[in-house]
Amino acid sequence: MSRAGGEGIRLADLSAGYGGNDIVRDVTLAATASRVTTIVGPNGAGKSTLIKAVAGLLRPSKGKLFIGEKDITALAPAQRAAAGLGYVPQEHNVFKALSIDENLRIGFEFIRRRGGAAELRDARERVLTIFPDLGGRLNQIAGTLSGGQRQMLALASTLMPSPTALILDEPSAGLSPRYVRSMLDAVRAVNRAGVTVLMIEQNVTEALRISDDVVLLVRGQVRGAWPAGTFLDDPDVRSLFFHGRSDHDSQASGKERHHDASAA
Amino acid sequence: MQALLNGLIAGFLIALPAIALSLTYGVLNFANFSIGALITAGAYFAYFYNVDLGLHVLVSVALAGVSLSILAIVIERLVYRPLGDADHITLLVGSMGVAFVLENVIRLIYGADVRTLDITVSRPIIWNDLRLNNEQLVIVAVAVAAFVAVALVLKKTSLGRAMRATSDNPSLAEARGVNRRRIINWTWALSGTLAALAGALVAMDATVEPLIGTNYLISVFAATIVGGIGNPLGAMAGGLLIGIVEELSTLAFPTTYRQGVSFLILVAMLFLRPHGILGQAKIKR
Repeated sequence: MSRAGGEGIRLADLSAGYGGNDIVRDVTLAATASRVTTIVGPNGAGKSTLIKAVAGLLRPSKGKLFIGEKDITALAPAQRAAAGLGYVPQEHNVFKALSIDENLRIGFEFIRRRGGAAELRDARERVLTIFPDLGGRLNQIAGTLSGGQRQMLALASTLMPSPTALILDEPSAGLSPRYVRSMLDAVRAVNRAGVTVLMIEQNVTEALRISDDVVLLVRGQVRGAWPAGTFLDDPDVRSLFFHGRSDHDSQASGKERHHDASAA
Repeated sequence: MQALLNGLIAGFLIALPAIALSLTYGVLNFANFSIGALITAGAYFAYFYNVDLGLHVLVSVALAGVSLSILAIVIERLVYRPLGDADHITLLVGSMGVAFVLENVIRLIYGADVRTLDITVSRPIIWNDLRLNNEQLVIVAVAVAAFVAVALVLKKTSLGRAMRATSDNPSLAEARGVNRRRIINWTWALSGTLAALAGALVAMDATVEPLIGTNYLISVFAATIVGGIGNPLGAMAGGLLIGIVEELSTLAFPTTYRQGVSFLILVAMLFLRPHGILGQAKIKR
């Protein structure tokens, strides 16, 4: 999928929030190249704020942000995309009035301005091998798709310019259990092709299934980082997820979930 | 039949600015009240090139289109851009201000006299008792060409996709690398051209005076809403429909009530089908 193999995402001492109030403070973490890193944490931990700062929707009040060796702290969202960072928002992530094909095209044409028609065709072909479901209905208007298909299209459009790293804001939010699995499987497939993935996810059990690394965010600060396999063995983590108020996070797999109340 | 034909021609004249109104509404998200004054400005631009400079009338129509597209970008720079992300009511009031200024600048230069373009009078074409003069043929040709051009731009070019994407979801469009400023300029240029074409064609068909655009305001808004506001291609159909209904209404009511008919349609549409005849409520997630 990638232009030059995956590139890591690195946050150095990053603080961000709204109206001068930092919600996340001094966050230092790294999403290693070509791996899947998931940020988890209870409601109100600041996951959404953090991902928005990485995407460029929120200017950090302090700290730096790198993709590979490139400092992207000062770049606007579109420039970050041109630098190889793809971002899939949680909601409003497709153009509902446009067809699937137009959504894919627009994901490509303004970020890869010099990419010609052949490159666009290749990109579409590549993306549709991961999402064959979309290929058969390229002229369908995106607004008529189901929530799951829409989420797939959002990911597919973001993949069109061949990002080297991908940030996902709760890819499984609002999806039925069947789609949660296939969505996260798709994320894994994208990653297998070499793309670095950094995501936040409430559905911890499902997220762990496809993650390599887990970062725990509590009250706006990083509490620690684990390989995905040992995360739930940690007694601290267990007490946080199975005894605290936010225990639904880890049990929610397959159930109707509520949106992160901290998302504002 | 003659009324139907006349209505169709009038409909083309309404359709052009209705498309313009729909474009600006979709991309910029406010109802551009200055559309009437822009039509008037287009008529006077045509008058300027045709009578003051003595150019051929068709050349004048084309130049009016170019001139008004540039003027529209200048207005955007001077009025709407400084208003920034103001809400749509502020922008609407701003566009009313633009309308006052434009109309009065025109009065200052040309006065309130009724003028006509320099057109050689030709014999109308008569076919099965239907009369159609040359100017009306030009109206149909220009309007159809403009409609096809707008449809192609919107559906087939990256600019059109970017305009529709911006209209649909501005922040996602920006994240996808669409340059919002550029899209806004193009939107104004395109709607300026369409308004100017309408004004110049009205001037060809009738007279030039400071209120010609304002007289179209209600019909244009009605057409836009019938077509589904923010849907430029629907606005074309809405324009034709309003034109025909207005003209047919003159068979039953005095012609002075023509605008009233449009107004009734407008109100009825807002009550019954606020998203346009073919439109549906936006799909909510």
